[in-house]
Amino acid sequence: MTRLLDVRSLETTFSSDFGEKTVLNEVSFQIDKGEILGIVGESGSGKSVTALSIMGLLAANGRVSQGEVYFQGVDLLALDEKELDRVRGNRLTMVFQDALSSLDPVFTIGSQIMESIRAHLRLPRQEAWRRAVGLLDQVGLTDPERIMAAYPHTLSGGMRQRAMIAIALACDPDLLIADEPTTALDVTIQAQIMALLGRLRRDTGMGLILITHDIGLIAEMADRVLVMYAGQVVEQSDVHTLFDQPAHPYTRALMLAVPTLLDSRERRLRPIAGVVPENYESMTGCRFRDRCRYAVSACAEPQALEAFSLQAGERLPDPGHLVRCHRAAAGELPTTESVLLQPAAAVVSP
Amino acid sequence: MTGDRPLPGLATPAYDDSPLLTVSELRRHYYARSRRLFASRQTIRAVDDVSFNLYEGETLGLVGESGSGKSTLGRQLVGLERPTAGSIHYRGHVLSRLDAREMAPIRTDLQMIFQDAYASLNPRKPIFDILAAPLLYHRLETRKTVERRVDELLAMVGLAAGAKARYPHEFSGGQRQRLGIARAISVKPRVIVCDEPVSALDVSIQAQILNLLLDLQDELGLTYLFIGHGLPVVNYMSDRIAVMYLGKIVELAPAEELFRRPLHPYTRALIAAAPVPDPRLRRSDVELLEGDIASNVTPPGGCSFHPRCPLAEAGCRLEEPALTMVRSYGERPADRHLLACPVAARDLMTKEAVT
Repeated sequence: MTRLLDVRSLETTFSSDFGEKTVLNEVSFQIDKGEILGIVGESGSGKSVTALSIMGLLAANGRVSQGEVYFQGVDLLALDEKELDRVRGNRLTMVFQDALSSLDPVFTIGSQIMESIRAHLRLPRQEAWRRAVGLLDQVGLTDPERIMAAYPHTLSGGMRQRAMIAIALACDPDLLIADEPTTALDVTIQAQIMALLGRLRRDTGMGLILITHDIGLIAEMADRVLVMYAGQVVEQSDVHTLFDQPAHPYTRALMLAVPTLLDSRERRLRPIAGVVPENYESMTGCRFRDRCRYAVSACAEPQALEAFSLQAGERLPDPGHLVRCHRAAAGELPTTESVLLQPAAAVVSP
Repeated sequence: MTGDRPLPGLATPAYDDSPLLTVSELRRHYYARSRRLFASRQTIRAVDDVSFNLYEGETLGLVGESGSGKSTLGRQLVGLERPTAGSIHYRGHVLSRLDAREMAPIRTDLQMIFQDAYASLNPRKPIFDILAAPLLYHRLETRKTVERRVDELLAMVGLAAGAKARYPHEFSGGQRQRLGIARAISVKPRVIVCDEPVSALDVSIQAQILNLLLDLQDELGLTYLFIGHGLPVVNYMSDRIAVMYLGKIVELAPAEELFRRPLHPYTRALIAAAPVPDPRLRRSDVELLEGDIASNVTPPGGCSFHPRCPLAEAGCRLEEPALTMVRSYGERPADRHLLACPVAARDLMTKEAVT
């Protein structure tokens, strides 16, 4: 069986007057039919560039400088624009975070959905219209017929975002790449959209790449997860293993820095000191080492993505849990339990 | 690192019984021209009959979806917006009755931290000017002493003294929020309205700012109104939480109780919708709210939540529910659980009568 999407050692480079910058290194992953891959990371970690590289939507000064992207067995990077357009918007679609700039202000929502339906599915006008109304209804928009006739600027941010998602789903895509699709939305609307995406994956076998900074959304939705930091994948695993045994110090730090409704009231958040290094693409070693509490001098050496070991000397034959940290791979880090359960603050007696 | 101290004000809030600030029947309406000619103008009820107390030393969290009126309420509290009706009492003054001159000394007591820190800092002024201006205007410092105070403020928010000579664009998002906080605390306020102060920040930076706010509260005895739309963040910061829907408070309770035993159907839906960062606790089918927040131009009659409410009865369409006390977890007024839903209140009574 061919994979739905197979990305191999993707590397993306941007050029400017000051020279070239390789902002993405060695990104590899696969996704099968009906699978949800979560990509989690902060701004500047390379999650959006990964998506744009796959879609062939990089800005003019950006290019995929290495690697392969196979979608249903076809090398997307080898296609010309015309061939790519037959795949994009049809079997492979994307939702962007900023819906206002992705919608055309001079066309109604209806005509923008129908454009996609008619271009790819060749449906007669009336049928396309019915399908479009149905889609708007599915994404939770009340009064879909009114919204068909509305222009983007007359809708609220949440409504626009949902219209965008309707366009992306218009042709029953095999794979949807959703880049922070609900970041600007309220939690109740976010829950509606996530339920819809989950339903589509179950009913139609749609694959989904969910790009987010929200580790809660990852836990809720993803089957497998890539954790990205400064243009690299630092950890890769199935979702249960990631939350039970987060291996990379960055993943662990991220989990400790985020408040959750599961916390006891006494838990004190532990911030990650410092910020993402500015010129990370020129760093040779681990890019997190300046902020890492476990950093040693060997961290300045290049780090490979290796299988994670729980304890020193142990070699887990688990090729499914990879980590870009020589200390985690060697089992030199404290176990996750002891990290997560350490008293973060003196417990206040009630 | 200042991380290993007890959380200020969480387990044993230091506030006493008499409120520092009282909001009563506050309304803020905006008027918009109707789209049709000759039609009457439209009234947008951003804040619609809101009453609550703010006790000294506490953090009152304010959650609600966009359009629920939480930011408008916050801006009214610091005097950036005038109420359409109702009043805000602060230490013997009724804020809306004061003119600009009378308001000036009170403004220093009531400060605000904004979501978009960059937009709240003048891009053409160096940080020293930005921080010194309010100190000189309110005569809290003289030209001679102001520099020392600016240094002190920068140190309090974790920035180097060298920041003084730099301009806002030279700072990262987290640092700009630190500057916003430095300016807010510079005039020695008692109440700070924090309007989504970390919503625009990266997750690894959010915790830095939240902990800074907790530390400063502890150090300076501040009272916070903390506005947010992310429940986990509001829960982390707050002693009590008020839930707003379409310009009204629908539930107000101690934070822990609100999350453990939410009573209002809207609060329940909000909590159910928040993602939980544990894949083992994945819910197969959560009760999802249908539809959208209604318009505050033509809010539904009766309880404005009834079109989306799973508990709605015929009476909910007719009568607007009042915020009333349904239980109390202690002696103090701040221990009360207030609810604006007669149906949920009745269910609670029957349940308690059975057990």
